[in-house]
Amino acid sequence: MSEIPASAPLAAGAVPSKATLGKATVAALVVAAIILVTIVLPAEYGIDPIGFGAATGLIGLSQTTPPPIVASESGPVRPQPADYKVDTRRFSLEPFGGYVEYKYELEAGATMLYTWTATGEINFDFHTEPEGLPPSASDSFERGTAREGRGSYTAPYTGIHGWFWENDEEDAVTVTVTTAGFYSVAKEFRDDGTTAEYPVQAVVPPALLSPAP
Amino acid sequence: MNSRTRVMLSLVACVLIAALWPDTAAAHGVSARDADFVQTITGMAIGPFLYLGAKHMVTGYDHLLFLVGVIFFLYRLKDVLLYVSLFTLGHSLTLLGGVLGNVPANAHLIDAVIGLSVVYKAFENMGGFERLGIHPDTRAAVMVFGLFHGFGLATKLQELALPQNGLVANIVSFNIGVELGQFLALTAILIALTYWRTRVGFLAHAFATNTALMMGGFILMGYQLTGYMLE
Repeated sequence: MSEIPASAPLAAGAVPSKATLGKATVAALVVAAIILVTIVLPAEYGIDPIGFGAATGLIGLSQTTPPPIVASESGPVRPQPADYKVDTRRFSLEPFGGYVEYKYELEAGATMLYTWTATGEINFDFHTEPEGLPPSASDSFERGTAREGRGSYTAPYTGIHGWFWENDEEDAVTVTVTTAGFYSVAKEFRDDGTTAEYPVQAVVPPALLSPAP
Repeated sequence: MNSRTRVMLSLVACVLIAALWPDTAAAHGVSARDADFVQTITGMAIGPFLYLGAKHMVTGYDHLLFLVGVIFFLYRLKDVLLYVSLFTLGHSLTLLGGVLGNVPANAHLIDAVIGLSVVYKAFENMGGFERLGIHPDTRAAVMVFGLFHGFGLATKLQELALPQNGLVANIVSFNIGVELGQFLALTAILIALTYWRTRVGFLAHAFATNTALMMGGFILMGYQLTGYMLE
């Protein structure tokens, strides 16, 4: 091993000629430009001036189109695993951190429609607790801060599925939720540590309306 | 070694590095999953921000390339500590100041300057300034580019729209995490460089390696400037 200079830039003898320096700098620039045009720009931005990105499939990295919706085998009609239920409930959330969790037991493939409104902005988190799995297996599907929400939900697996609502503001907030779907039990978890379970009755059809004459 | 061999070696090194460089093109921001997590934070979260800071540094090839350039010819631990401290001082100032002062900055432009810092340092290591007969202060350069690296970190944090609650503790945690990550990365780089220096090939390939480093800087610049123009 040869003696190594103590510190600082290249040893004096190693300072390259201007020509070498220029060539190396140009080489670095040219190779960088080639890599940018052939690889980086197609993959990152979908800019593909010489078509290398398309030829190698790199261009696909820049296109984040969602996968197409595939119709289920049974077509647009989906039979449901439980009785049809309707449920409405109202909760009062204390200011500065009052919260409630309200969830339904849904089997895999069961659907519900929902709408909820609050008297003020609240944080919400639609999440799940898969049956027989630890809390870490929970999935969170929608989160944010809002006064209302509505939509439909089809359970990807059996478990309990529903909302966490939290009031961060300085005034109490009332949240009202109405759902219709094919669930069984509804469960409530309050910020004071209490839990409640509400058996939801199947909808009894109202007296048959006879068709207009 | 004659100049033609040098240039050839530089080219080979460039192509090799480009070929082996994993995921050259990935945007170096905060991953979507980490960003999602940060959105759920409503107060002080020291642990997660320490981790995010360290992860940002360890996986941040732009910062790492610059550090490789900075310590490439630093043989004494004293010098390594001096230059790394200057870099740390620079990026901490703008990281804390940028986020707390909510300084608006364009992430693409800042990242392009970070790319330029790699080019600059590589050129210096190639003996470029010496050949041109100019002698910019190497310590001042590291400090000034450190300011831009810190700004780059700040723009990434600002994109996350951090909650005001616990902001200072979270940013300081992120900053400390950055230093921990930098320490880990530096240790690995130093071990590799120290081993390489015991080989005869080190000085012979130093020029080619720094040419490759320069190319990396040019790629970062082109990538970020394109991103800026597309905005």
